[in-house]
Amino acid sequence: LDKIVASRNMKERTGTGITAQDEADRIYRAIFRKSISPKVRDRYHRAVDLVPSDFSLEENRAFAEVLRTVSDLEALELAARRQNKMPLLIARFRLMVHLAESLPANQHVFINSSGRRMSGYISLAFGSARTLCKHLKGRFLLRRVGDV
Amino acid sequence: MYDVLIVGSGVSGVAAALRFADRGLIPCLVDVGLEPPCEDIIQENLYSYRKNHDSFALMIGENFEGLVDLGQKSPSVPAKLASPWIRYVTSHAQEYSPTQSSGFDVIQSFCQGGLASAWGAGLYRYLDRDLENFPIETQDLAPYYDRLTKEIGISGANDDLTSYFGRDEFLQKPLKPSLNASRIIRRYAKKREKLNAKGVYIGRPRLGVLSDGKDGRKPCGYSNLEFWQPGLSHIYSPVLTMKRLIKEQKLIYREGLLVKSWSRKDSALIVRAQTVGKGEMVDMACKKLVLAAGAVGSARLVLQTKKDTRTELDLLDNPALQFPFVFPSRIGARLETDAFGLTQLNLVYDSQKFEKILQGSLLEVTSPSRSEFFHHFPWAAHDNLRLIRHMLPALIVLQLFLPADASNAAKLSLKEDGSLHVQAVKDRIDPEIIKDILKMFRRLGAFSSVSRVVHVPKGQSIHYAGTLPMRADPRESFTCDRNGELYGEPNVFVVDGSVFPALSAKNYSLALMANAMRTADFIVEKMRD
Repeated sequence: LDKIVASRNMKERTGTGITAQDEADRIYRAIFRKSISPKVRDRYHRAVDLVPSDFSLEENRAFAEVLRTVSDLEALELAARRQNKMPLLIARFRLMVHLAESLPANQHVFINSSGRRMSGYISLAFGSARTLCKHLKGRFLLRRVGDV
Repeated sequence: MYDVLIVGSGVSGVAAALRFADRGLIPCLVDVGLEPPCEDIIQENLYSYRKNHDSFALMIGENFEGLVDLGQKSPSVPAKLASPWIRYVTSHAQEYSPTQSSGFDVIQSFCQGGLASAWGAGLYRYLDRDLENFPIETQDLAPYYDRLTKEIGISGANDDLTSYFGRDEFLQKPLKPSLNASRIIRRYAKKREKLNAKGVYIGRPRLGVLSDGKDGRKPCGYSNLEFWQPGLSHIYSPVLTMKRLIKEQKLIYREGLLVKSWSRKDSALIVRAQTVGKGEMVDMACKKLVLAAGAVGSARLVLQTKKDTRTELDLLDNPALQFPFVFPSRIGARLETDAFGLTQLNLVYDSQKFEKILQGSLLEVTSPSRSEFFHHFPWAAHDNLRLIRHMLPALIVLQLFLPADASNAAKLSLKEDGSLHVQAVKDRIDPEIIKDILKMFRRLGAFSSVSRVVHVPKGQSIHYAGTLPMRADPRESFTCDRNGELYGEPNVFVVDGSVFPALSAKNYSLALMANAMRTADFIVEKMRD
């Protein structure tokens, strides 16, 4: 219970005006390019409260600041992951992916049941080019956030 | 007074109990005995279940217990042990055995069956080359191997790896290989001569997983539930043998007891335990005490009994590397949803370039959640989903184990406050090994790169050994003789991994069980004398 209260207090104290709902919506959209379902949003909200956290108040504040100032979270998360920075942002992305995977409606996102290989190759070719652009943008954003 | 009191219900404790029962002696087995939260709830394939049901309770848990590692900066539990219904295997470990560690993830279990309740079920015979530096030989363990194969139900084949694994006439047929594994088998068959010349041998694994029904247990249904559902009847667990012995009144089982120490009164050993929950102290008298609480647990018991906070004991674990390999021709293929979710094949690398033999397990990745791979892939988040969808069907993982001995052992000691402390030594793994493995898999049509190879965190192989090693002529405390009797402690025997002075790259579970039975035989003979 202490951890839950501490986590809630931490969010209130960050004082950046970013609500848990905004946070869930933005992270989900960054990963899945669509709107979050109410079930996943509710679970995300509860997970942030319930999962015991090693992250400090400072890290929570920095994360809230990132949510407030950075529009392309996906690019930032990629650059952060590649450079072992911003572990809280990376953890929240992972959390969202786990929560989304548990819904039957999202199975097609994770599991290839069609076996159309050519479309797979094309999708991956497009993905690699897109990742390259995101990485360049992410590095720029990471430098900017570092300055903040 | 009990004739024999066994501490711990893992593979070693239950194997010893089995041998005592075979010889007509009824031992008492004591442990904490945590039980799974559920068994056999899901009766269908993981993927059909996920398609039709919200799998939140199965994969994450109502209290998000499957995601606890996401709140930590350095995850310390392998994915399988983090899953909601299998977490019980390691739950309360810090409470019952407080441990601080540096560079070594100490994984302990206080459940029925111990860590074998969540194991990969690899069961290999230690042969003479694995028993270098041991005061025993293959012939000492050989009589027990066949008995264990019949008791457990081991699937596998006598194939190219027989010279490394030993011939076994009682094996069930091997499990159906996955599409990726079949591809390797075909390529290996074509290039066998060249690969063998370089010391590379590939074959079917020896697993405690049924391919045919046995004693009311079902054969493997290829449901992919290995990471999620406890008590799957096709995977052997020592609990199966333990329950049978209890039912046949060949074993007295006392659960809910955490053994703390022992003392002596006249010719008896007085074992002191604490009841779980109430915290009351209970004394039990016995003639022979058999420690099977695991290499860490048994070491703690001995250190606590001796009240020794100075001695540092060796703690061995196999260093391991994980290689993800991709078959380009399988990219974009449909995910094979009815493959066996653990070891598909074994690889032995017996090269003159390296001093010791290396052994690897090729693992299919259909059982873990897809999200588990998200942070291992290097692309942007949305594009990582593409990789998960199109690349994972083409992926197989090689877990390569290296031998361990005193030279790369961690140090374990008891602190004044009663906690254990484990200090790791950094492994030095020859980079040539990685290069060679990548090269040999290219020949098999599977590709990876040095940057994708993961060094498994120390302690996460969970093959712990060496804390109370057996010696031919023990002359110091914290060592055992060849029969497992602790030096300076008559009638106290150690039968778990503690007594193994070294680890070959081969999984040691079957050898542990055979050795525990050997010690049980010695105890029976001694009592008859």
